[in-house]
Amino acid sequence: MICTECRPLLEAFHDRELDARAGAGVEQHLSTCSTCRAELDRLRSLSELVKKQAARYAPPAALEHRLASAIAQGGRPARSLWRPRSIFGLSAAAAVLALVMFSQVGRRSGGERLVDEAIAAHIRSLQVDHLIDVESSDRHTVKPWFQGKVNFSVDVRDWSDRGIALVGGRLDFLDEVSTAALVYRIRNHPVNVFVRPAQGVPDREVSKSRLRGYAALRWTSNGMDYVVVSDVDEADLTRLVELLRAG
Amino acid sequence: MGADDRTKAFERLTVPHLPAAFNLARWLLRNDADAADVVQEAYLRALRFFEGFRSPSARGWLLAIVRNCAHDWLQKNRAQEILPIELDDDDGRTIGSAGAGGESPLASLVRKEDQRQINEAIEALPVAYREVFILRELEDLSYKEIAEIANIPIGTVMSRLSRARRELQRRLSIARDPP
Repeated sequence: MICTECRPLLEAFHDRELDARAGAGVEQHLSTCSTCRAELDRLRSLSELVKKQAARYAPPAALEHRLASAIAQGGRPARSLWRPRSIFGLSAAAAVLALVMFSQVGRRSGGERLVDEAIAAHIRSLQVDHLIDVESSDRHTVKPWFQGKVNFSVDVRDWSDRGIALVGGRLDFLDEVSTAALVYRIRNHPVNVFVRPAQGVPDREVSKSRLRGYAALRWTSNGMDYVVVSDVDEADLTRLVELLRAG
Repeated sequence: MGADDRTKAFERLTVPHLPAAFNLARWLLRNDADAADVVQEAYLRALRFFEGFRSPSARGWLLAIVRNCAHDWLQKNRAQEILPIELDDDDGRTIGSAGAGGESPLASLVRKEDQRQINEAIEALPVAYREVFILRELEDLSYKEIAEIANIPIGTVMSRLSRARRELQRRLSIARDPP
């Protein structure tokens, strides 16, 4: 592992969110790199300072009594008589509406969100025992495994002879939509290929994004959304995308 | 289940998490009175949804409700605090506007261990960053738990946490090597 590979993982390492394999890689790099070690020290200094010094606000004594009586009231059988008193002076419906309107303001476009979710799912998949649900380099094992788990047919191929090895598949969710994740390894880097039905959007060409050291390539063809995520060289990733798109 | 049993079961489940619930509300609202009101509202809301409670973690479930109530309250009373703020990554720009400031660099360096300064620096983070940071550093929750409570993807938890940390390291003079 080199610094540029270590840096994006350092915070997850500090937060104990890496799987054993990635964690060992980071540790090994740290033992030889004083710059990354210093970066980790700064993360630790901040965490220690905050844990030691930041306020932990204790509930005021009166609050527990207030709660107990509010709960007792709320738990009465004749609940139709009990009107929930909103401290906001806002009806629940209006509150929901306000929330919905507010959430639209900051909403990212569907495409960006899909890529964001795909990268998050990729990072999640690297954690302990999460990468693969069905482990097989045989596409005739992986393809039928998805039947009954997703409501579309998954095109599973293997290019081991060209250094892109199928290692298995996984059921994932992007934006709460069932998504097939095909897992490949390229020069020992895991690659997730996410496939799910495009929700009524027209075909689109490949677009690239980068986030936290991961590259994501996404496109839409024949009614399916594809996102390919990995930390492998972009050239390798582009080669895989070309093979996938060649049909 | 009778009403009394239901109330007792609810209290057994939720009262142990009152310190965490209040701490989160207090950090999001920045004063005791508003935090207490929001926690009460959250407990009543939780009681209403208690029948449907199926979550594996009572703490996560309750904190998610506290967080939503706090956001509703801010939306109603201090909407400017929760306007979506996009942060630029590496330019060292100050994020947020409330709270700390106005101190000479020397004075702040001298008192960098000072509790007040740390609290102010955290309070000065925009709410979206502050909540992720507090849940991680003070409540020791995992990325996944935080993602569920704040209703955002794990990738967003990681990027917000990272930017919050960088901003706090800068404010608290935890020196950073030039990139």
